[in-house]
Amino acid sequence: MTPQSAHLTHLVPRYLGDGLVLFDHRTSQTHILNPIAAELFDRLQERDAGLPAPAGEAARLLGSELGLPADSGDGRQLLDMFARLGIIAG
Amino acid sequence: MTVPGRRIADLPAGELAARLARGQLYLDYGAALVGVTSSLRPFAADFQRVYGEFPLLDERPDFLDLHVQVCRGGGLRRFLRSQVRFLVDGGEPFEPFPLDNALPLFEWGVNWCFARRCNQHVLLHAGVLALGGRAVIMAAPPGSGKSTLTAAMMLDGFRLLSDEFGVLTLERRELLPMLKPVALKNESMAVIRAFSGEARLGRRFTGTRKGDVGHLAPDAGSVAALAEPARPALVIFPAWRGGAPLRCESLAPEQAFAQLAFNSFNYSSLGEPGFQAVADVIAGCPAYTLGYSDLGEAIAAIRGLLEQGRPA
Repeated sequence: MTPQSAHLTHLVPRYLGDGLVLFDHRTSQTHILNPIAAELFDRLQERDAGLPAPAGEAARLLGSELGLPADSGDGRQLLDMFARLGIIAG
Repeated sequence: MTVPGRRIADLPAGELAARLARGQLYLDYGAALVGVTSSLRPFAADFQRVYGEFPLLDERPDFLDLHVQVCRGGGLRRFLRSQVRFLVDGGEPFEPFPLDNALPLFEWGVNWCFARRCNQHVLLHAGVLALGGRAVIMAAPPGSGKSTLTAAMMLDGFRLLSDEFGVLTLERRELLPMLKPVALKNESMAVIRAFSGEARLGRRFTGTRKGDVGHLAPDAGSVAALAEPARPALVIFPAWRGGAPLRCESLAPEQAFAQLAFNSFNYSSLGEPGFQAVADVIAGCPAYTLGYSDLGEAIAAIRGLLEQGRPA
């Protein structure tokens, strides 16, 4: 399990297989991340430990390294969710 | 105090009816203790048939999770059509039912109370059965054949913990029995009778709000293990489809988590402890979808999956 960074103390991650589930203490809601979303979360955590990742960098990682164009429906939905969760800067 | 070996079935009918009328009938469901009061003689007979294997508690337990009363309806309406009411700790959560449906009302009422009150555990919406202390969690929405498959598994040698509530403890991640008669609807009663000559079914109640309903009594082995938890070992999402071939597919863990957590009775009110408990179950158990039409094939497949996952 990736250690939580300082600004994400409201999020509790649990890796399950290649996917990830996140519990958000601010809303008491649970979010389900498929393997691509989990990989993006992981990379952003490694890169920006303690700070929200820039949205542009997240979009670049998603498209060029994880194969999901940021302007696709699924890509936009994922980036929107990460912004709401405070994982990337809105 | 339980008199060793004495069961509810051992009470003469008149004595059982008298105990119910005095409010001195106590049911041990495993995860909950319930006191029952009723002066309705037909209810007593129906009750005894499906709870016959349960232990007879001669003294009032120190603590009861619920005290429920099943009684004849009052008011002017009783002159038009006899009715039965369900009361719990003095409150009445439902409209009365026709008098003949006292047992279905009691069963639904107790389920309703469990679903709203037992928040010290995660209440998964799932049947639970076990072999050798290793539990299969069978989670599925209504209409998927979960109760029928659960009933058939019990009749095929599995220990039944519950057909409706997967009672997952927050402390030890164990599953507690919440052992009740299995409610079978419509054709399922005939399916289960055909599946096993050992099936002990109560009376058929026709025209209830959920169609025709009958209750399968838990077997002696399941009742004898009321105090024994089981360890989660396998998660199955069954779906019955008439004539369909057996189809068993591994489910991604995060998807299994979503299906199990979001269909539970109280996940959303438990916060992080509930999240961690369900995540631990999914992290420790393989999960599969199981499409089937033949009960025997489905049970053989589940036995195989349980065997595959056995620790070396």
